[in-house]
Amino acid sequence: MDAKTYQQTVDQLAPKRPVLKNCLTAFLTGGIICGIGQIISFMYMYFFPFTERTSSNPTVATMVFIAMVLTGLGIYKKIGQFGGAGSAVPVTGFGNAVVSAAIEHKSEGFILGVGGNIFKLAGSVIVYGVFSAFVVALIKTILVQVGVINW
Amino acid sequence: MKNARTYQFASKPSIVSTAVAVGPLEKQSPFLPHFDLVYDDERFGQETNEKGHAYLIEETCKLAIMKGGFQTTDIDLFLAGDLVNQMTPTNFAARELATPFMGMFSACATSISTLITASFFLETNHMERILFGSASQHNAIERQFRYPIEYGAQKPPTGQWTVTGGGFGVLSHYQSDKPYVHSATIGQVVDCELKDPLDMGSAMAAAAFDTIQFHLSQNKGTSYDFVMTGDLGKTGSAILKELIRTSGVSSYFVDQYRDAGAEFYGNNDKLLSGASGAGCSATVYYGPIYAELLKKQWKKVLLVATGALLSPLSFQQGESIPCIAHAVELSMD
Amino acid sequence: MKKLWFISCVLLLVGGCSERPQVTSYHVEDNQQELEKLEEFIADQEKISEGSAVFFDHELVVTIQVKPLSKFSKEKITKSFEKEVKSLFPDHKVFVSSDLKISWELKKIIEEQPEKDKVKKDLDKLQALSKEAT
Repeated sequence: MDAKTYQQTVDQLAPKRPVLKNCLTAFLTGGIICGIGQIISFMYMYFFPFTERTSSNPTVATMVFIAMVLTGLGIYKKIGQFGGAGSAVPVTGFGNAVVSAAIEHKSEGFILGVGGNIFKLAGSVIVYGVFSAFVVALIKTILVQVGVINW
Repeated sequence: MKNARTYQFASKPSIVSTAVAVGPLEKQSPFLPHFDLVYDDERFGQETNEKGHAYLIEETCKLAIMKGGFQTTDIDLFLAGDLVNQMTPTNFAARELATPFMGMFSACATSISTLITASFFLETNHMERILFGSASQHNAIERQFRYPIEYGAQKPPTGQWTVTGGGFGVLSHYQSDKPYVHSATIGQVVDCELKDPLDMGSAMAAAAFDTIQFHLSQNKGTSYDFVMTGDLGKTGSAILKELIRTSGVSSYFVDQYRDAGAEFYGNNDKLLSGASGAGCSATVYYGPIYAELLKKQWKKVLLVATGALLSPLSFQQGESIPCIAHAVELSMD
Repeated sequence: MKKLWFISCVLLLVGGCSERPQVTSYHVEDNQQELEKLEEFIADQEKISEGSAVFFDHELVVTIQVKPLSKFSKEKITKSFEKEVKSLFPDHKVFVSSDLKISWELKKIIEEQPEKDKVKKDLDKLQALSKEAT
């Protein structure tokens, strides 16, 4: 039995990821999460002296806090199975990645376990987030220096 | 010797007692009446998942020994394995049991590979009673191979759920009222260059097909009550059926084919393709199947356990998933 | 029930697309000429849905809300708006913001119509708030 024909058999018989349905549920889940975020942001603006710009920080903190509680209660993984990218891409997904790793590695102690592994999943988000921000800033600086665009 | 991978045991070693223990989620299994111990705590009252895993192995082994009317000192050899790094749960359980011990790793096929090895040891007549089997604990295995338990990653429909449970038995010399090991086929590693660690059923089906085909070719004319694979799941068993159908090995076989992983949680779509893990085949083979053999409901079954021989490191480095399948033919006089 | 949904959707659509921006304003010295000049100017803006303004002792604080589809170029719109207002009132110290919070606070001031001293205090507070970065 060679690998190619076997791969064909597998492609025929193995159930596919329901891409369209996943896109819809991701859209719905992501939309609901962002809607909740917007409501929280309005709350910070309405009840506290935060402007549109400054309210983003406490809003992110609150969303991560909610994701943390949901992760601890075992609800976020169910949301994740339903929503896929819709629950992974917003900041709550980042919170979930951090907190789930922390819970998982608590058994190895706080230094080597939690401390050493808390960014196991979220680490690449940070690394490539910082790196791509650097690249974009570099490109823009060059373009401004050349005179193509303004700041 | 060309066909040495299949062997017929002249001494007919018998499985004299078995014990099966499972965790809380396994309560929804249709096999539940045949599980000896059902725990409400997936950590079995221990502080870590790995300690719970070791406790599960220890308690199940003790029960298997007790059900056979033996003491731990009667056991000449303890052959077992699990899926955690360096098999610490099994090693730690062996420390508590204080019997002669050899750890074995064949991934999820350990349930059968230990039984085959135990049969060979008994065939030499040097040993009297051998404790064999395997176990897995969902949380400990998932963190080893995939993501943290609480991480919200979406699993595809081919994904499988690692069983929390262990199945162990005591193998001894032939007893007419117990099921015995008639013959066995040792698998060879089959790699069809599949790389998706969330679709191991598809990868393992090729290995299962290879072993079944070889075993049937060496035992022509034997009729089985059924052939059962360990944890191919709904996806893998569908592929195995197709392979059997197109190759024409035995058209008879397709109707009599079952898969422990696909049946384990009933028809629960939330658990996707079905159950997997070293505990999946062990709990089903040494629980319900053994019980039905004892009752002489079935006379001859071919049990095939499949294992995906991957590590988190190997698939991250882009290696494909090599798979293995071992087969044992159990008979009841 | 379905009808109600439909009607509310239509109302939302129509409400969201209402052409001319709504303007509220307050002039502490009660100079109607200046008020009308500014109100007309805001009402003519195409990309703005809402505007508020307070005049006080040669100071002019304006807040605007940019229409949803123009939000991507909110900063640019605000900047050019500010420039034009400045050229309209060259002898005023002009402050423009498109922040929702600042807009809410300014509307509160307009509603209260407080005395000189309080207006100055409130407006200073408002401008300080809008300069906060984090």
